[in-house]
Amino acid sequence: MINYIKAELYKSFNRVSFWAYTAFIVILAVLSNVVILNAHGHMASESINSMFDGFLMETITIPVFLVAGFIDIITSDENKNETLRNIVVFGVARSKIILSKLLATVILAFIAEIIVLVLYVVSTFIIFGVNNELIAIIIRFCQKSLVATPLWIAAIAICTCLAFIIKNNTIFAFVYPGIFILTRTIINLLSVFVSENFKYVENILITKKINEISRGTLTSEIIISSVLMGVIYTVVFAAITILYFEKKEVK
Amino acid sequence: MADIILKTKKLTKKYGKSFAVNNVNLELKQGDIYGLVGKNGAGKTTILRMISGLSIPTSGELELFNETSKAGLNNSRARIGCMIETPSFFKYLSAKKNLEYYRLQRGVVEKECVDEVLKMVGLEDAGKKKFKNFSMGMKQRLGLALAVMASPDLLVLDEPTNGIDPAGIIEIRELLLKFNRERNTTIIISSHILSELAQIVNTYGFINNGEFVEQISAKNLEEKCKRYLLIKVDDTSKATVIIENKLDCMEYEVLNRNQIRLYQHIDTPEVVSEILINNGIKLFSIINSGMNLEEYFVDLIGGNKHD
Repeated sequence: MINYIKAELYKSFNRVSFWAYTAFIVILAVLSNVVILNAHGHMASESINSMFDGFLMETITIPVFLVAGFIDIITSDENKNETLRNIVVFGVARSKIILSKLLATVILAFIAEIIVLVLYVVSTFIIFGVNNELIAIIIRFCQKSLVATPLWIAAIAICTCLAFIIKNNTIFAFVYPGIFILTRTIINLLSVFVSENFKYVENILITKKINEISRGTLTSEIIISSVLMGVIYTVVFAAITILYFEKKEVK
Repeated sequence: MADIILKTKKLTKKYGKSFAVNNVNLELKQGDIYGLVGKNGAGKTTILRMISGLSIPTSGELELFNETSKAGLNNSRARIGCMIETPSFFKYLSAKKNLEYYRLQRGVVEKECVDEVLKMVGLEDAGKKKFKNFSMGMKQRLGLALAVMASPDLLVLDEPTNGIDPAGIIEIRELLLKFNRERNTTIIISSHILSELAQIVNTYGFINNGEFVEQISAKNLEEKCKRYLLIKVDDTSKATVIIENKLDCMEYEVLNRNQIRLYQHIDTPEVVSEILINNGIKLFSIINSGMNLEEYFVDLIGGNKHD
């Protein structure tokens, strides 16, 4: 499994799209700082630090969608090039293939996250200047990101599962974000029109939990529930992917 | 006796209600070069896909290096090099980087093996070229390079010379023979180009409409397919004396009191008939007989019918 992960990372680092995708995220992040600076000029009543704080905490939801790019690099890429068979014929157990894909994506996303965060923080200090309040906001953001990490990993597990099931990359590109964007709305509608019990289902949605993390204060209850939810989602979707792939003909 | 490294028992693959492969029993001994022969759609690729783990058999048993369990088969597959259907690689990576990816994935310690196999298949100058710019023949060569990279004990090759030019076919053939001789690598190779197989295989397996028709050694097949002159005469004992003394031929076979199979002078039956007649033998007929490999195969599967 370690060999497979090493190989996946070698392939990804030799791929222009990984660097281009990471650079794209960095550019968006830096641009957001420029926008905040510009907006502050028009809303002088609010301090620039509080604007930055409000924006930064909201971005904790974004990785749920950004992981799709890394899934494309690690997993969907194999569908496009039909290269999975080169791994299967070498006798790598199918369960190991899935777990390796998951781990490789987590590692790759983590590496990209570090690159983006470092460059973003540097750009923040350059644009807004260094002050204690800003440093405290960034530290709080890092803490919240750590708490949200199990949920991001869960998103990777869900996305990997979809990438194995949906071979058509265009459909996959719509289905994955669609699930996260629409599920909450559908459940809300169901709770209004069908039964109020659907509200309990909303509580176990990844996006709802991440919203709680980004908007509220970190309590031990939130930390534990985030870890538990992340682990359960990851295990369930990894198991579904393995069960599906075990019976699959590899083209 | 050589070890049996691959064995199938009633191996079957169904897609819906139709059988792609039905009750196939085949056996490969170590060091064999086994030719799987059949028309397009006969089930050759499906058999190779099941051996390599890409397809899951509907029923039957597969034994690889004496392993039959799922985990055992997976472990055994690490000893196999495969090239099934058109080779697939990452389009945006060069040949060398593609092989480096698989070297890492397969845990091959020797870094230099990538350059070695590229040289072996004649792609040493194309190492930096991206796979998307490869011709069909180059793709086949790279597929073969991957198959042999981890020094496999068994090579599973599905139409490996597809799209390769005649000079390349000779090179690939030499390469396979070299692997077989020097490393005792067992090879199972499918093709519908029988003349190509005839030059390397020592055992044939004929398959038709998903069913195994016959497994035969190359030697026995050669015997069956040997061309001869079927001579009908009044007295074979007199005729054989003349054949030996006047024609200086020793390769013949007396079938009965009136028929002889002569395995020499196949292209000059007029010489044979003239000598027999001039020496007082009553010659009733002289016919050029026997089959080539293609004819044998067509005869075996029941004519030229296409389903």
